[in-house]
Amino acid sequence: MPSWTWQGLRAGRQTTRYPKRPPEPAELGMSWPSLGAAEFSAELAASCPTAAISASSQGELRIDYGRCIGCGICARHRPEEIAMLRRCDVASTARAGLIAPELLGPAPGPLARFRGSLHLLHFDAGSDGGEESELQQLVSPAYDLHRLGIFFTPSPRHADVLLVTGSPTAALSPGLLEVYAAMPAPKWVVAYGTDAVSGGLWSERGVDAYLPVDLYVPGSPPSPLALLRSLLLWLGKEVVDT
Amino acid sequence: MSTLIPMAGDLAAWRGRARFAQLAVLGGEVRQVLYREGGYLVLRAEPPLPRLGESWPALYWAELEAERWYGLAFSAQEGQGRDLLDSNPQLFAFPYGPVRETQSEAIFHRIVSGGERIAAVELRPFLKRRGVERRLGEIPLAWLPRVAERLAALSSVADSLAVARAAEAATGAVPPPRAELWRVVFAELERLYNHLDYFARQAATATLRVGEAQAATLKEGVQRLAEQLSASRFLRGLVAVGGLVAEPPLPSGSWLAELDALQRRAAAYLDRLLATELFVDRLERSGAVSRQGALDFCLVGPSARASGLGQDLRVDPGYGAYPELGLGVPIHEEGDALARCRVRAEELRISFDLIQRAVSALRRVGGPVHNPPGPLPPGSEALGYAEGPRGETLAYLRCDASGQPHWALRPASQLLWPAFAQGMRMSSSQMDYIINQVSFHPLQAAWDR
Ligand code: SF4
Repeated sequence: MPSWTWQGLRAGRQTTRYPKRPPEPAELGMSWPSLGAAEFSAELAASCPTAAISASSQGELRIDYGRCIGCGICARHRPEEIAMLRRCDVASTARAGLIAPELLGPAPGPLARFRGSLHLLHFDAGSDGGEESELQQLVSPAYDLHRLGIFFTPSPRHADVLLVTGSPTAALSPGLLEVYAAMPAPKWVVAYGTDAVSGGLWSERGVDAYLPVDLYVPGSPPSPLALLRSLLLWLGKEVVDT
Repeated sequence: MSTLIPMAGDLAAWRGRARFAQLAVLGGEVRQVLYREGGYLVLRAEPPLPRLGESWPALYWAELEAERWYGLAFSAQEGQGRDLLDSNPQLFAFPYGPVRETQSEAIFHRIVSGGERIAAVELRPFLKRRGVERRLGEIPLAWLPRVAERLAALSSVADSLAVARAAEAATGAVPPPRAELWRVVFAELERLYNHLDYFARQAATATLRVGEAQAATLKEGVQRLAEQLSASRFLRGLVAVGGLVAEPPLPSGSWLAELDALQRRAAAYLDRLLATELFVDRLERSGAVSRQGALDFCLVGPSARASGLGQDLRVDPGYGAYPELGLGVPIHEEGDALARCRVRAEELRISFDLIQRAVSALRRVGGPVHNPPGPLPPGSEALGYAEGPRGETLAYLRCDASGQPHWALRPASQLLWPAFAQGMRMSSSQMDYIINQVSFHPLQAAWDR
């Protein structure tokens, strides 16, 4: 029988140095449309499959990163002005903080001085499985979430945070509310992935149509590092981004 | 391109001569799709349809879905399935899901058991139903692959290819040869990280924590290679109707060296895994599906090939650049979880090789990567297919006389879940339940649609 322990040790360190060192380019994950000098037009807005593009009251271009799935169609409409850029810093504690160009990163939340470990309960309310795949990578050696004192628990009784994926479907939203009710207070909710943030391609309803959301992490799906980073900032921890 | 051979006749008469592939309800019209060596056959059916699902198990869920979601009318009921609980007072049922440990998709099953042994697993699908097919019918041609690739993240490439190929067949926009080579690179990268995801989870069911971690690390490596080509860890945003959205950066020397390193590490990993008695013993004879069972349930992909069926759309009928690149189809006969594991282990090696060969062909084959499609002709019908990591994804497109498109998708997982549940009947312990769920590696989001 081969020795798995020996093999595991021999492989050496495979975990990202983040948050002590800046992320590697390969860890950034999804690409987002940069606005640059692009101007709003109705035709540009109509090109977007998730209706993420709109105009401000002054007629300036706005992109709702809470709806954007990073498909790149708008960038092909305006190749001179809009570029797709890899970034892992799209997240906010306020839904309005996801409207580019005025992005607000995650502000330190109520747990900012919290010294203990954080327990997350994952609830799939209708995702396409991408977020789940990334959550599994997040606990694998490449990101090793546990080293940062953040753990998953299958029990609502032990959970501080409900981490929801997917735009809640009719069949799963009652379960979502039940699980939330079973969690002891104080409790918080994270919407992980564009579908959970806004409904994305499928609906107009994100998780915040059902529960108060404390942290929004959009993306289709957001990279493991994007979630790691937003949780750390929300916990008031330091991260080295550049 | 897909050949639709319209046939008259009775679906039941085809049993044993063709594999049932799809029951599609498209804006009131019904199509039954069958596969026979070399291509697909399509029957036009008039409702009410006879209900065949209890004698031909592959049809059971297809009929239920068509009835429930599309209001398709069926004539006589077959004999009602007996409720095991009523007839057997020693049995009890308990729910499994939707919240699960290990950050998995929401599924919901009812497990009927008399203690240690499982008597039946009842599936409760469609909790995650988002209405993907309806959405496909509402959007312009250019968005189709962007929506299709969100049917299920882990089969983004296969699903977007099936939909794109249907639209290509309907519009006549044949993808240029260079686009077909790229599609092989993407589809095989997708197969790699899916199979590695499978190995991570299967190792976990045998409590091999290091084995789980190492496969997850290899998966991460492949996803990062994918990300370098596509700016997406799930290879999204690449496939277009008529080819590709844009020419990706040609793999650099360091990209190829990394692929090579991953291939060697994966080979060493699989040697270790398959030499680990604890792992092999748990999988052996677990969840066995006989060759006849695989035919009855119309199994697809690695699960079919593990039960002795040599079907792989890349070879038969062959599509895209696969016939010119050539590939073998690993087949095992035992039909158990171990056979499904061995098939994937061999496929991993084949996919690495295919990527290498497709990349070197890309150095020789020039030309564009996109042939822009025209509009969908009213009255057109087409079938698109692709061999994904779990088997065949089908996409049936019918554009009605007013130009309104209707879509019906048939993901591989629709056939895998029922075969898994059947494999659990009567003979399995509760430990086998998790082992086999992973062993078929089905996606709930894909089935629910
Ligand atoms: S990238 Fe796609 S989803 Fe995002 S704003 Fe542009 S068109 Fe819309």
